[in-house]
Amino acid sequence: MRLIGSTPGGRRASLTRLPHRGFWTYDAAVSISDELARARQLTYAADETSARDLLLSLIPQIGQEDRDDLMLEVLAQLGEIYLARGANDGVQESIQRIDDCLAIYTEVAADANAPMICRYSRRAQFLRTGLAAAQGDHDGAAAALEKLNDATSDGDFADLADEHTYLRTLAQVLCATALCDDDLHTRSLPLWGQVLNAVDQSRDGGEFTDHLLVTAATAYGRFCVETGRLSEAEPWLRRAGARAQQRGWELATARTQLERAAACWSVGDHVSTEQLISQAYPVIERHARVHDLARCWLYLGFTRMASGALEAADECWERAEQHWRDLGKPLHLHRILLQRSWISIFWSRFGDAVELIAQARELLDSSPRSSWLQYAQLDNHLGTVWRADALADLGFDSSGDPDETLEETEARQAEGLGILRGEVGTPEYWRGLTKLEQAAELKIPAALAVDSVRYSIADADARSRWATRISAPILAGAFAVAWEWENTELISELVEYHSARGTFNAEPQRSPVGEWASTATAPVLIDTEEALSAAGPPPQGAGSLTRLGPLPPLQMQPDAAPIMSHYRALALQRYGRDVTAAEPAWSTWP
Amino acid sequence: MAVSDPERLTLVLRYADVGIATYASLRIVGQPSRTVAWVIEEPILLTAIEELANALPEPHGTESRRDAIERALTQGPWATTETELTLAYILGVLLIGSPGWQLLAECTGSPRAVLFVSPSARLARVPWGLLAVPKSGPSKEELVRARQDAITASGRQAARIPWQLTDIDEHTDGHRLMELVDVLMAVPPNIVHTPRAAAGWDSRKEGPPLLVLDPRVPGQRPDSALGRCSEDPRHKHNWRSTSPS
Repeated sequence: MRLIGSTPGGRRASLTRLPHRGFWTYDAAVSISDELARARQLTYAADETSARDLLLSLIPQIGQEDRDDLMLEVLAQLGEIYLARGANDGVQESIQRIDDCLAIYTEVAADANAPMICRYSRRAQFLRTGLAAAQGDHDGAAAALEKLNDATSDGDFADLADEHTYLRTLAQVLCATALCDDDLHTRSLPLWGQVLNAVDQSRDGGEFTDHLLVTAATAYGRFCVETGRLSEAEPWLRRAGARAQQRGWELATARTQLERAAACWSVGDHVSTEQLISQAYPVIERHARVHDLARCWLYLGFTRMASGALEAADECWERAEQHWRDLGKPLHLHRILLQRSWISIFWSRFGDAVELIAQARELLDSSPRSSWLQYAQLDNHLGTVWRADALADLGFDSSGDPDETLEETEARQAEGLGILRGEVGTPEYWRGLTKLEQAAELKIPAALAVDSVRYSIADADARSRWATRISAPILAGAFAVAWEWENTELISELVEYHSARGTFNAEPQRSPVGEWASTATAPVLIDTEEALSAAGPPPQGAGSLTRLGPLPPLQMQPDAAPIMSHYRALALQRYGRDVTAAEPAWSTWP
Repeated sequence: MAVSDPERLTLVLRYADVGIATYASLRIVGQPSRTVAWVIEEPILLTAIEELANALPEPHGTESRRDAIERALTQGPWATTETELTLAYILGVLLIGSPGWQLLAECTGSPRAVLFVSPSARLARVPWGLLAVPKSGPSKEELVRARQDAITASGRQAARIPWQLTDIDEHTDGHRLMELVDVLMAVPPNIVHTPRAAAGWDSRKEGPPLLVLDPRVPGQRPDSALGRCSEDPRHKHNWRSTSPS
């Protein structure tokens, strides 16, 4: 693949003067080209500062030589550097200057400079796509990408075909990653398909090919981890890591380690998580990638929390929160706030936890890309606070004391048996039960909403991923609250609801990590577009014994009202999930 | 089926496995106020499953099929009547909570009550009718301690319960669940309510035949009441009613 080489078109045209052939020397042009190639290498090695300085230092010389084609290359490379570093203003300016320059050429000498105009129009279009994606303007990014995809719009030059493929694929990676950053994993699916195709077809092992492979494989690996496709993630991440290491690209290597750490965490492998993050962190910090830094601190907090070190975990998450505040991304910030509230929960500082959750809710409200699922998870989490508060009233032996130090809370947790020591019938007891009722009011509708989605997913693998990562922990929490509330009628109804679909497959019932350990990791929203958009008539798989789609009203006794109507109505009202099929009620007694 | 006898109590025992715990509810149809519920924490559930797995002739790990059958027949809990009773007792203690046994005891009498069981997937192989009614068992504290010890950094294991099983007769009189009530499996509501396409014999008669092997029962005359498997008087009507005319 060739991105920087001889001047496309081979001729020159000045922006301001008529061509003066022979005005520049061959040697000077070659040395500038070499320097441009070196800048590109620095960029790939993520040494953007040196690359930028080098590029800026070439500008006076290029001006003297009057080589606008080289100037365009400088501008395009600068734009890519700014894009990588999240300096959106810089990207915008690079695009503008490329456009201005090309506009003049198009006007005065379009035919003579067609290849150059084509090449740098595409580079600008690539930057436009990346910028829109980085700003979360997914529709704009998709439109820009479509324009970039159109190979013939600017002319069709065989020697630019490789570069075109490279730009297009890289832009697809950027768009897909940006979608996943906003929890829009489903929308990113077709893009990943195109990316993988392009990576499979890339031929030579040059630097550009390697850069594309490493970037795409790492990003796709992350997508797989976030959507629970761990076995698919592993080979891509290892391949990317090996190639990056071979090239000496330390940041790219570290990023594969971070994604592998995330995969390890999601299967409960705390030791490997810690090990990989420790390797990745110093590099990511040196390169100041804020989002990835925040993710490092998130996972470091997880591993500390898993070993019972509450205070250390809190410090890690505080740093993660700070980084995400700097980035100003509401979805990520809302998740880390929810995660931090676990410390307050363990510490029995329930007011603080509720405050953090309220802040998280405001962030969701302010985000244009919030979904019902995030609200359901947030309500469920608020229910967890009520539950923990109630358990403290009921004498739960592991509950923290807000007046003690976190260290003392850690020790208490380590000793706790997980039992209630309180006396029945005391004022605290009744207060606790009232709080559990409140917890049920929050947790059960959320559980019904996510569980009904689970059963709208026709693909068994996707259904199982949804169950493991989203619905199982919430459902388990709903059962637990009903049990602790001593509400036999409600437990009986929940059991009835749960077994109404029959039990033919031992689907994975729970995530291998604890409830606290998944609050801030991105949820799966994949293969479920239809399931999420509507709870229509139940899709009935032919010959399948599994009932898909929402259940109709369930009637447990002759002449009794349908069960859990109150909670089912709340699920509809809060999340717009119609968790009850519009069919005649099922009687569930034999 | 005699379930429709209005005098006869119908009980429903259902299990819901939500991963870290399995919840059970036992109710009498038409008497919701008598419903009871209990919870089986996962380490306790795993213990029950492990005990049962030792008894079953299904290969463990690298065990061959032959070895598995030999283990089940000669060493497993079902090899002797005493160890069979012990397993039935252990499952009885672990899977049915004391409020459950209490309610079942209250429902014995005439006409016999019928109990429909809908187990979770993990409990699907439990021989429910054989569970022994426990008189005593490990204390609540012992179970809590065993559960806690089984929750480790590397996951949840089967709880090690301090059973006192030297004399099993101290803990159970040997009565089985099937002696208290008629035990049946419940058909899940989604199957019951699945729409069925009606199809007449004319449209099916060209289909492939289903052949039923009906060997003679050894030691029985072919024309006697128990002469053939399909001639079990309790099944006779079912066979006839479902065969095509």
